[in-house]
Amino acid sequence: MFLAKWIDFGAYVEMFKEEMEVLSFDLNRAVDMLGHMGRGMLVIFVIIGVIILSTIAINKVFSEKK
Amino acid sequence: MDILYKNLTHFGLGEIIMLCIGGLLIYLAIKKEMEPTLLLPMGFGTLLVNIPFSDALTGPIRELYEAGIANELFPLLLFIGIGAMIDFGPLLTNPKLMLFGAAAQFGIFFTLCMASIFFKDNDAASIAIIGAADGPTSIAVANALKSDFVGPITVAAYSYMALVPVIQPPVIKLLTTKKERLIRMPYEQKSVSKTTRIMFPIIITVVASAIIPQATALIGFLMFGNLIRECGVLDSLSETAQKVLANLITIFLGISVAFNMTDEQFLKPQTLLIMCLGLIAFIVDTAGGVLFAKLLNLFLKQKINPMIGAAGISAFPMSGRIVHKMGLQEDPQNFLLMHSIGVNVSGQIASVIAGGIILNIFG
Repeated sequence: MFLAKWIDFGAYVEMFKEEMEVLSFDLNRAVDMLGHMGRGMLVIFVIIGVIILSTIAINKVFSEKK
Repeated sequence: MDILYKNLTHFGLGEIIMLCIGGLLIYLAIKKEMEPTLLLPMGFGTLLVNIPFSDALTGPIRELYEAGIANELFPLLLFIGIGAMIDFGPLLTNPKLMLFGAAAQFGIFFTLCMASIFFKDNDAASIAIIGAADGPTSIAVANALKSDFVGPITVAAYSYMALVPVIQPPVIKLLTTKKERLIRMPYEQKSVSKTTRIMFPIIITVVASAIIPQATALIGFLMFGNLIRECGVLDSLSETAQKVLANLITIFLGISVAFNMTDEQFLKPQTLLIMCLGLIAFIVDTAGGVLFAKLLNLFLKQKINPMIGAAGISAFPMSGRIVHKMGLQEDPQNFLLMHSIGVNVSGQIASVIAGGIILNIFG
């Protein structure tokens, strides 16, 4: 009796069911996100590309004299 | 005498499960040595906040959370220490390695698509950033986007960072042939001038921030730490940043993240989904780097060992060492360390930039 009062399994099952209902499932959103994926990867490569070119430039300009 | 059992009657199943999870995190930290700097404080903090009517939750842990996590301050301060620890030398001798760091962030955007099926945009973006394989970036972005899942995201990010030696090798072997893994990459020792080492963090900060201003704090604090290290006139500050500051902030960060580890916030079906999506992010990151290297090999005369692409994630230096070790297992004369570590540090930079891009899109 003490244990049943202490651990209300029914309440947890109900809470779990409510959380499962809140979880959505919408494949269209994944398709919408493809645009963000493309833009995001393009921007990363552009920024990294500029950093690479800058690094090559400063390596040439400030190289240690032999 | 009811004082002895009065509070015990308020324990529910949720609190008990979270106490077990806290114990598990402590066990993993101590016995398995999985990211102990974060998992141990998080585990202990989880114990503190899941005692019914705990004054730690309403008192100091809440104060630390508001002071350093809710405003993203602690992760940024930790970046100063991380920046001071990084040596960009291997990357500066071969800047083209940064391309692999960029490619390895593909997992973030792929997971963004997957997560958006189940979660609203800010939560999906916060979950996707687990793929950055960088704890401070994950915490900073998740808080900035006001995600409801900061706790599970943090646990997932740090747990999978510790599991990199388990996750990466099978993915690498699946995507490469024996012949490709045997490709040798001789390393040509080149010196890098001190001026170059000083200019590099400044240039990265200005370039990245000018294009993505939301990345300014993330990239700026990381590069500030590196500048302290490389300038040569602030040795005491560099040492403080690498040791005292990094350790102090790590303690506060670990224990204050536990504010999100209550049973109401953690014990949800979404937590399991977040763990799965985090794993997908890591796997696709690894695959992205390896496949990019294979793509480049179609056009290059001097082939690249595609395994180094896997080191483009931010789990520094573990990922670099794993790739080097795999190279040695295939061919004891194939030393990939300098290349893989160069790619690994570029992953640190690229992951922070990716975090800024996510904030730009969804912030």
